[in-house]
Parts: sequence; C-alpha cells; structure tokens
Amino acid sequence: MFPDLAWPSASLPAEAGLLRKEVRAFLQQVLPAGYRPNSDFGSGGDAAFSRQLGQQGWIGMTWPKKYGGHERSFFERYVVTEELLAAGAPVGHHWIADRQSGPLLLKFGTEKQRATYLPGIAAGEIFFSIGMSEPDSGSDLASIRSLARPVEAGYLLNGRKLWTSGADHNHYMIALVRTEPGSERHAGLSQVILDLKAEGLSVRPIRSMTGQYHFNEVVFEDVFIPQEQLVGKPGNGWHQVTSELGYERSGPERFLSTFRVLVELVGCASEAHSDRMLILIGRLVAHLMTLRRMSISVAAMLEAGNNPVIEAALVKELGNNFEKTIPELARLALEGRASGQMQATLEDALLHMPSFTIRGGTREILRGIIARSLGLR
Amino acid sequence: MTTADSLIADTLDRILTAHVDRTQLDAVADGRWPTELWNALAETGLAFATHHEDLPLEDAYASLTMVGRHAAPVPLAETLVAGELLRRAGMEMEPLPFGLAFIDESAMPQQADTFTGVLQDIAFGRHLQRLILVASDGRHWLLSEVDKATVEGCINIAGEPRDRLVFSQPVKALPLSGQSTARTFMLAALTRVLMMAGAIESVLRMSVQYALERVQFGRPIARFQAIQQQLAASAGEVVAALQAAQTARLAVNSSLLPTEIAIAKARVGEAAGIVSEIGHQVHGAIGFTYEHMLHYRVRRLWAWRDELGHEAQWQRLLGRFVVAKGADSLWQFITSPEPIDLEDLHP
Repeated sequence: MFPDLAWPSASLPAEAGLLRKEVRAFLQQVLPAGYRPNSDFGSGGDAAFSRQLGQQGWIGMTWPKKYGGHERSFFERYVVTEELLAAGAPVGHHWIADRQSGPLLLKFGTEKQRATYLPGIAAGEIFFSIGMSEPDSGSDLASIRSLARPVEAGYLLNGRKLWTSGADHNHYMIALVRTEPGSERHAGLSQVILDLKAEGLSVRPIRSMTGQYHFNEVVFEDVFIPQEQLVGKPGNGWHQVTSELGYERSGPERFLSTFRVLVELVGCASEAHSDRMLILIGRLVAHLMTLRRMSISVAAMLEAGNNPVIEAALVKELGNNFEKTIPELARLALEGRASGQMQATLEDALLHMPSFTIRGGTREILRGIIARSLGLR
Repeated sequence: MTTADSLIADTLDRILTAHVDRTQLDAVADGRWPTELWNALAETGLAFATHHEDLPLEDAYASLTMVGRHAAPVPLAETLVAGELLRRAGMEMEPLPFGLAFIDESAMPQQADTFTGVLQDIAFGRHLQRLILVASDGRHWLLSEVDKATVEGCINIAGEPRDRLVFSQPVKALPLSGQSTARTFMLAALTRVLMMAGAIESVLRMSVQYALERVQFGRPIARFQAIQQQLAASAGEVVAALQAAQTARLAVNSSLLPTEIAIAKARVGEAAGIVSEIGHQVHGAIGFTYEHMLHYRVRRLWAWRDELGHEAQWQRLLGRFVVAKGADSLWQFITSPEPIDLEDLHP
C-alpha cells in the first residue's frame, strides 16, 4: 500500500500567538542585544538560562502538573522551541531532557522515577544525556555491547558509550544497554538511568572539528545500577527507543540550525542590491516555510497521540538538507564579500554542518526508513 | 482531506482512469479535441464547479491535482479560473471549455466592445469558442467568437496546445466587472501548482512500482540501497510539494494568497525537477522511450513549472519582500506571514 504523502494541514492555535509574544519579550530581556549565534541544540548551553526558562514554565510544557509540568499542548511547546532556536538561545543543557528523557519517563518510567526526575527537569535544573552509540555501534544500534549483568538488587555495567553530548556537565544519562548476557540484536536490550557521577563511570571529552567539547566518551567499569533505575520492562529497550523517534526527529531543530545565516544574509541583501541574492533568499524562505508546515503537521500528529516515526524521518531528511544548503548557497551569493557578523555566522555554520545529517539518525538510515514505508524493503 | 475533497477525487479518478490513455494523449498532441473526456468532465459539473455558489472554491480547484496525476489533456484549469471570474462578474457560464489570455497595454482593446490583435500561448486555443482576456490594468473581457481567429498551432514541450490566435477582424468583447488581474494571475498559477503536485506524486508512484517489478542481478532493483535512497529523497520532495500545494489551495480566499502562491510555485516547481530526474534514473532506458508512460507526466512538469512564473520569478518576489522588511523582521514573517507585493509580476 503506497503511503499517503499528503499530510493534513495544521496551524498553530490562536492562544499560541500570545505565548509567542511572551517568549519574545523574555528572550529580548535575557539575551544580549546584537549578535546572535546559530542556535544549535547540540552545542551551546547555559545552566542559568535553562533555570530561567524553567521558571517561566517553558520546560516540560506538555507534562502533567503533578510532575512539575504545565499541561499545555504540543503546539504551545512548538512555539517555545522554535522561538528559542530562531533567537539563538543557549538551549543545549535542558534540550534532551525536555524533548526526550522526560517524555520517555512519562511513558515508561515508574511512579518513583517520574517523581524523582521530572520536576527537576521541568525546573531547568536536571539535565540528561542520551547513551546510544558505542565505539563499534553507530547506525547499527542493535549491535551495542555494553552489558549490564544482573546482580543482587540491580545490575553491574561494563562497556562504553560514544558521542554522548553534554555528559561532562549533565546529571544523568538514559542508556540503552544489554541486560541479557548472550542476547543478540534487538532482543535483551533495556534502558537504564545512570548517574553520571556514579563510581566506575568516567567521562572523556572529545574535541570536535569546531574546536569545542560537546560530546564525550563515557566508560563504564563495574558501575552498579540499582534495580529501580531500570526504565520500563527489561528486554523492551529497542521498542522504547524507537517510540521516541517522532519527538526526536520532527522538531524545528532539524531545519533551523543555520537560520541565523539566513537572517544575516537578508541584512546583507538590503545593501547589496543583488538580484541573485533576492532570488536565493526567496528560494530559502519558500523551503523554510514549507518545512515548518510539515513539522507543525507532525506536531499535530503527536498532539493527537500518534507515533509519526516515518513522517519525522521525512522532516529530518528534508530539514537537514535545507540546513546544509543555506551556508553553501549564501557564501556563493555573497561573492566573497562576507564580513563581520555574516562571516562569523557562516563559519560557525560550516563547522557544525557535517553533524546535521549524522546526529539523531544519519541521512542513510532515515532514507532507509522512508524507503521501507514506500514498500521498497 | 475533507469529505468534499475525497468525493471529487474519487469521481475524477474514475473518469480519468477510463478516458486518459496513450492513444488519447497522442491524439490531442496531434491536434484533436478529446470529446469523450471533456464531455464526461462536463457532465459531472466539475468543470464548472468554481461557477457554482454551493461548492467552496478550495474544493472546486482540488480536482486539478487529479488532472495532473493522470496527465489529462483538457483545459480544465483555464475553465475553472474562467468560472470564478464569470461568477464574480455575475455572469452566466455556458458549458464550454474556456481559455485564458493575459495581455499587456499595447494589446488592449481599442474599442470598448471589440478586440483585434494577437494572443499567444493560448492553452487549447484551436478548440476554443470562449476565452477570458485579462489586461495588465485590471480589465477583463469575455471573447465569445474565439473560433473566428486564425490559429497558428503551437505546442509546448509536453505536446499540449499553446496556440497563437490572430484576430484580424474585430470580435465581440464583453467586459467583466469586479476583477483583479493580480488575482486572476495567481489563480492561473495555482492551477499549475495543483497539477504539478498531482503529476509529481504520480511520477514517484510509477517509479516505486517500476523498482519493485524490474529485476536485475537476480532481484528487484527496489532491493538495492542505491535505488531506495534515491526514491526516499524523492518522497521528501513529494511531501513538501503536496504540503505547499495544499496550503496554497486552502488560501484561495485568503489575503495571504500572494505569499502562498509564491511559496508553492517556487517550491513545487523545484520538486518537479528533482522528482522527474530521480524518476527517470530509476526507470533506466525504458523510461526514456516514447512507449513508456513516464514522459507524459515529466514533460508536463517541465512545461508547467515554467508557465505563469517559473521558480526564480516567484522567489524574487518573495525575496524582495522579506529583504525590504529587513533582517530583524524575517522571523516574524516566517511565523506570521503577510501578503507579499505582486506589483511587477507580469506574464
């Protein structure tokens, strides 16, 4: 059966407009005036900023109030996230916990886990990392080998995780590990909450080509995990991990990572009087507005309680390509005349760009998911 | 999809499946009029749906996506636009195919009630009796003696009639009140957006189907990652095109129509090129033959993306507007669009 590729039109509800104004006013107040960096959720965080955001009620927005949430809609959360990204806000610290770890605990966590972690996440005080990739397991996630061997009252974990963003300053990691010795592939995997300060756990920062340290290698040597840190059912890890992909891949962070380049380019174009630049800007705006509508359509699917894994893959695939297109075409349209903020923003974008089509599922993996939905595999 | 949408789509799908085939497509390219196909469309009333008060415009135009999907060789687009114009002018609509002609100042009628001159690129012009003449200054006329013109038959890259009509003797020109040339032009562009969206999806479907059937190296080529990756990329373009086209169609009564048309014509036109390219690559040599049905869609996509403003023309209008607003207003425009200026867009 050929999939329906015509997604329903969805628009943000009226109350979102008021919220948008509040967010803009807040950002104007707390962020420095003038130069704004590209907002890349994978780098650039500020614990004080995250706490302020939590005080505003803009983390854990869709969660129940009893866990510190605010019971607002996915559309309202959408408005906050896109405003943060467009403004170049330092969202790196709380991003993963808000987007993924929190919803995961809400769906699969125990009552005690929810009560322990969610209020702190929503307050912008507890930060989480995701532990998936390993030295020998990247796109082939089912090949992971980190083993949490069942012992009295818990597990004993040995192994290592790689490319773990924020492990050097975050508080916890939700890791996918093998809890059944000898199990293979998708079976025998479980998710566990690890305290990043636990005994036997060491974090080694890895310098990226940007010169910064935002991802890490995390090594486990006989790390004891109390039984109560298991998330969901033992052996159900693969299913749990894949259920989060709709959240992980459909948001505005998948097409706004180089938005500031476009802003700067519009600024340059008002002085340059270049027809080529006008055409390019029009092209990029047409792409961006279409992507945003696709992304909002997926937010509507999430709001309706669906699990739009394929739709999210399509948003990420198209969105990542778009993010990579902006700097490449901008530099050509500028004809070597970029200077000051334009040049700084361009260089920053170029240095981060290779990661866009790798993190959160490579282009090739996403296209594989899409191809399966077309009936090709 | 609304209920009205899907009802229209189902009805049309049935008619077009029954009436559009290779023989007919080639016959129309050779100058024949698709009598049975047109009559079937006329009988359902869908061809004149924009003239009826009881069907919302956004539903009336929806049928064009199906026209694109089937590559149906009929001037349904022009007839639907004419229907809306006649309705706004409070005039009756005869159950005939209509044409649409955009003219600049130099070609405008000199006399109040007659027209003499040359009209170019008239879709299905050789078959028409009725045509709406649209002047750049906003005036519109109904020409009811189009068959008095001398026809110089021309076809576009898809083999669709785009004729040159020479009116050496004056023909009656009846003014239409209450029109806006910018709106008429946007509606005409909308028809191409919707037709392209349908054809684009059709090219992907054909390509997926072919990949599943074609066996090489002992297995269907769909099993090869190189093929899967290309078709997945194509699917992304299809989703974007359908989303942009749908948004434009739903904005048909909105003040934002200029913005939505600019976005859609630019974005769908771009997708048309990419999806066609991948479609041909997946089909290999057979897709390049005249025998195969692929080219009937692809050639139309190439024609339609150029008609009524190609990508760069609409991109320029969009770009100029946001640049004039300034860098600090860009995000506001993205999240809360305004109608862009169509001032100097002219066919």
